[in-house]
Amino acid sequence: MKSLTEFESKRLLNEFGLVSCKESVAKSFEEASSAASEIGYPIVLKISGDGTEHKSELGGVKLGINNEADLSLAYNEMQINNSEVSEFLICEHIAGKREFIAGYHIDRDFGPTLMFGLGGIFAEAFTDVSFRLLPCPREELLRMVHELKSNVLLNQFRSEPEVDLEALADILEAIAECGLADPSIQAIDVNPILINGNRPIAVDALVIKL
Amino acid sequence: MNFQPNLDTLFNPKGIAVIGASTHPGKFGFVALHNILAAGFEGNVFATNPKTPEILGVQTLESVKSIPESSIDVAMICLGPEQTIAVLPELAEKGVKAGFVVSGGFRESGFEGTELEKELVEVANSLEMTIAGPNGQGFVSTPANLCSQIVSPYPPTGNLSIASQSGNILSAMLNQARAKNIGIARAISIGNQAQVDIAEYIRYFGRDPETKVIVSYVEGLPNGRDFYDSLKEVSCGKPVIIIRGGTTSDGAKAASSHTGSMASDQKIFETAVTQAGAILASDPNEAFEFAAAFATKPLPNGRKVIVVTTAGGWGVITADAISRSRLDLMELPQDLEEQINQFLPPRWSKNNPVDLAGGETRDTIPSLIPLILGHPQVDSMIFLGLGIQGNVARTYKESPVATAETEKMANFHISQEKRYAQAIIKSSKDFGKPVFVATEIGITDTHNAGPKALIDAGETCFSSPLSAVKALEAMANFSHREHEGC
Repeated sequence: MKSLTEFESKRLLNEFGLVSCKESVAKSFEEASSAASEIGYPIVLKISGDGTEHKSELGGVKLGINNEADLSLAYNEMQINNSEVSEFLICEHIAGKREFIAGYHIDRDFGPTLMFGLGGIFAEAFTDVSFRLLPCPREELLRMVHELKSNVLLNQFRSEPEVDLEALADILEAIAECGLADPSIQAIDVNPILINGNRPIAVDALVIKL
Repeated sequence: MNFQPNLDTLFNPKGIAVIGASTHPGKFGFVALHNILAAGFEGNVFATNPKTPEILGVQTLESVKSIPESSIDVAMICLGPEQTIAVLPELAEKGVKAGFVVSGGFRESGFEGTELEKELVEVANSLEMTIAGPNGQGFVSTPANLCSQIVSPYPPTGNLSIASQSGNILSAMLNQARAKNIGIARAISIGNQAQVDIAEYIRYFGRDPETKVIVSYVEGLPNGRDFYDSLKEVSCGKPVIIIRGGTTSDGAKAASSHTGSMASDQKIFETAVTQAGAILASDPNEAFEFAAAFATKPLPNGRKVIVVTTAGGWGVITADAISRSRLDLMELPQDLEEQINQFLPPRWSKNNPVDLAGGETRDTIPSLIPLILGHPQVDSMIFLGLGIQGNVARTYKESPVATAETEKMANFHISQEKRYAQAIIKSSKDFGKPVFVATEIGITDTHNAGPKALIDAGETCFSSPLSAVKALEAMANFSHREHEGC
């Protein structure tokens, strides 16, 4: 098993139409700083490259960096804590209160499957997920979205607008097509998908190959 | 598999031979022959036993070689594993196209058995012979008056077909069929699925003109994707009800991804069944109730249901259950309310559930049932309270202080119960809409005239409103699927 990096994973998924946050890889502070200005503050700084799949646990994610001074502090701290890490990811900060997860997985009995579920800090406590065997028509993708117990979150919710369901189905379709296109892909995690206004945007992704 | 399994011959043989017939009534080889004779199979019946005793009036033959040419096409093989494999070529020579292998000692018993099972399949494939089992408890085919081996009473004839990975669960469902008077077409204990797997049985039942409803109890799947495909192919035309037994340990699953860790066996299995348009039941009893409903009732056109009750409490519980389901406890249409007013004193509920509140007289219920069911907005009805008057009759009939008056009243109650059952059956037929009767009395007093009349007519009597609601919901879901163009 071998994982693509977060950056590589998202680029591969983008080829199938996944909408994800703007981001770029930086190997020095200068590169990081210029990427941040280009993307526009606030940004998110993450460690990148091999062995960083569990970057949150390594203290490798810093949210809400508002200016170059913040970036410098965060960059130095991360470099000290993760001395073997050689590159960083500068990502657009996506504001969104509603979080979902999606993924692809090859079941040993039924073959390729697609998952959609509730994300965020309570996701593991509630395990609110739905699955489909792949391939399946687009109507099934919309149905699996509605199958969640927490599907009220897709409606207008606490001053947030109704989620663009077609855009959400586009994301699910991209994950399904990406997985089905390459038999060596064993699993894909897209976690989280944040709902920004009404638009779902993939913020992190991981593709696992044989 | 390099040929199409010939299940049509297995279930409709022109002649059948019990290979390894036994003189001992405790052995498979006896039970198989006994049940074939007892169920009245009209084709040729032969039996082999090396000592050639007469068993149950059948003169056994020393070996397969002594069976007349072209007299049989199916064999019930009650031999040990090695002997089973050895006898297949002789059977093929006699024209046998399909066999049922009873014996255990194959894959379920370890490495050696697994090797024997591979050999069994190879030999059968090379002879183009269909093999059900091994390690199964036989099968029933009522259109052929055939019962082989199965250890439960012979079921009534009908259009429900069952393939079960457990012989005992199959027997349990046949017991239900007998007790509830729900007819069976085919029923088979599929054993180890060495050559013919569950998907092939489902496909066969899908094509089988005698089968209208399919039930399957599944533990392991030789090919999950093919199982899913078979459900998808068949579910468009016929309801397929699935019960799952035995979830394998999720710990064994490599969960390198978050998605994988969420994908429990049970969750994916349920996804496959429902995505294919088949119906999941939580246990064999629920599966049988669903199947009985599909087999005996017209499909509802939509989700709107009216509850008619002479029993207030059950009406409330039923309304609660409906509100938790995908059925619609419809608002009582104004025109219908006005029509019902003609039949009842003002204290009736004037709402759905239609609670008669004890206001009914001799003809009220037989008049209300067609009136309500016939309303164009109503898709289905749940009727509660059948058997209550029969309860009173029972008390009077058993009374140590009975009088001519109590006897007369008891007989009136009994005749009323029969009228209610008849009104339910007739209205359902006239309007092509299902009526679900739920009462515990169908179980607690099988002589009660109301439920008995229903059951005798081959109609399902549900033991609780909750199970009636679930079965009706399953039918409404299936009906909705058909409306989507499937």
